[in-house]
Amino acid sequence: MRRALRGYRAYVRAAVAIRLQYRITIFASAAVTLLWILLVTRVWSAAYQGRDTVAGLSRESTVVYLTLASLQAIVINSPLMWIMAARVRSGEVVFDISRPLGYPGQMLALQAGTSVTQIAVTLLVVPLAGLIGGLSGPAGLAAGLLYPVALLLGWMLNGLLSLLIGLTAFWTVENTGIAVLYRFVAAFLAGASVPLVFFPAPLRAVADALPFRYIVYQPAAIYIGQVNGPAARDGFVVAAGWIVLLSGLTALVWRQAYRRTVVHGG
Amino acid sequence: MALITVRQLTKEYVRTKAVQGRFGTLRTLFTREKERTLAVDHIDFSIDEGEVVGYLGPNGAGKSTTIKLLTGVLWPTSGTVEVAGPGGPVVPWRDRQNLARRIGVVFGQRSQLWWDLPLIESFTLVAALYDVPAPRYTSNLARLRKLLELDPFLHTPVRQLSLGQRMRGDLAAALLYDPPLLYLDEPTVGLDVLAKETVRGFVDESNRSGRTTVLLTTHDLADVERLCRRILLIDHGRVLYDGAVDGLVARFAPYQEVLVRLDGDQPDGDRLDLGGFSGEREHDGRWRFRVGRDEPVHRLLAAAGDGWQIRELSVVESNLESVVKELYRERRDG
Repeated sequence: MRRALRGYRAYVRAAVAIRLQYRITIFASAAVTLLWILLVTRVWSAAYQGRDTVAGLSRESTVVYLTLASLQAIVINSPLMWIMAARVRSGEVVFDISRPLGYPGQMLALQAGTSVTQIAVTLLVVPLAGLIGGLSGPAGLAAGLLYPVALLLGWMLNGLLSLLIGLTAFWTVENTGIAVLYRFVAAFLAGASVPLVFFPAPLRAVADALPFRYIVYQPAAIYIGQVNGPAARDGFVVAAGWIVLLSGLTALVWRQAYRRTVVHGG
Repeated sequence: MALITVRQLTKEYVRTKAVQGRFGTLRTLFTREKERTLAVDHIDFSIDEGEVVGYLGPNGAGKSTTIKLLTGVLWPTSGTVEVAGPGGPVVPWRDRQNLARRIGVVFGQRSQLWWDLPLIESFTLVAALYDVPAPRYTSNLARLRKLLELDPFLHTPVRQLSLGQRMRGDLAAALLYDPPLLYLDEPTVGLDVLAKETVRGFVDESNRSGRTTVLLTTHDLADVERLCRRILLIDHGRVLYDGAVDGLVARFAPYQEVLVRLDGDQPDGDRLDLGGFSGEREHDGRWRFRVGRDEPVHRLLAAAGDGWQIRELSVVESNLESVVKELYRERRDG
């Protein structure tokens, strides 16, 4: 156990070091996020047309939600899926599989390292994001305390889902299409650009039934006080349930993927 | 006692057959027709501790597939592999993580080093992955730095290394945690003469002083002549020969070749009978005769009186390279 932890920690450190080699990419993606915040908050503010509240959400709360949600959605843009596919394609996956650590764990550690870098950059641009969009303190002490917990659950869910999508590369080799589809669907159903309360009922039911909402909507809604008390608690239970379910599924899919591994070239 | 025991190991690759012709790409998406290739076909062998075994065969013979099965990267179609160890025998694909700590792997065609990071970072990472205690890491690294002359590029990002430097880095990474078993898949491919010699010297040293058992695939037979006493020759997934290097030459080339240049007028045609030996014309005008190892070459010389004058004669001993070349050619033609 201690042995394995040392290995996973090393992976996280390496992933951070690798991301830091590509600073321009990191700052470019931060710039894209800020631009997105600018656009989405302006469009939604205009949509309020002078009204104070729509669907129980004030204009100010919506702007704060959208600013937070855009920042949080950065984690969905992890390169993990491409990295996995690229290594299957080039045959370098041979080294990942021959390590004394589990493959899914290694990939999650890579994802963690990437996220550490993304979070560090995100924290740097938070003041700018507040200026461009709009930020305020959490809705209350409870909201402030529950927010990081919700973020952590969301991160784990996104990590597991990305890992599952990445594993499709063992069957298809090339998974760009699936990965693009995942990002699009995940970001939308997570409520990254439209708060879920604005969804029409049937779409809302779909979003509620799927795990994506816990990646972006749940934490941001807790922060602005839209979700609190029993609703927040129930949300945590369901998110934890999804994590357990997806962990089991990942283990199952990985076992199948390993048995059908083909190392390409040489 | 055998360190590795391979029994009836078989790996079959199955892939969807591409449909040719009109809308072929589209039809391939929906086809059910499968193509099966037997990459490794019921092979048996065992390797003792401390051996250096050359695993030879033409391209596509199944060498790399075997190595991937032995390292537990691939799951076989049937058959088994057992690697002896302190905790009892281990089957690579069933107890992969456990085995991983005891094997070092180098694939010459690709690298386990982190492309974007300085070489030394890959070493600290490997040390952490394999849980190498700090003092052992320090002493191992010092030894590897000296043996493989890593110092000039230790802090250079791997993507900027030359192929020879990268290969030395890969060898160091594979041995940083003192694995008793080393799999080398074409470790000298693409290297210049000096770099090849460094790699060979290093493998030899690891085997002698570290008692590392080595299974080596290569197309450079100088690697085999320098390092291996035993050869496993495979083709089409089957073992053709398993034994000593000398034995292979004696078995598959029980003759020597004699090259003869004649004086004066040359005989017509491409064949020439001389003293009971049949010769073939070479591109440079010389005649090539095959003379059994116990047959007297002087009969060729004695035959020279029969109208042909020999100006020049040389005897070419069969060596590993000529034998292997011959074997590959026979397999391809047959």
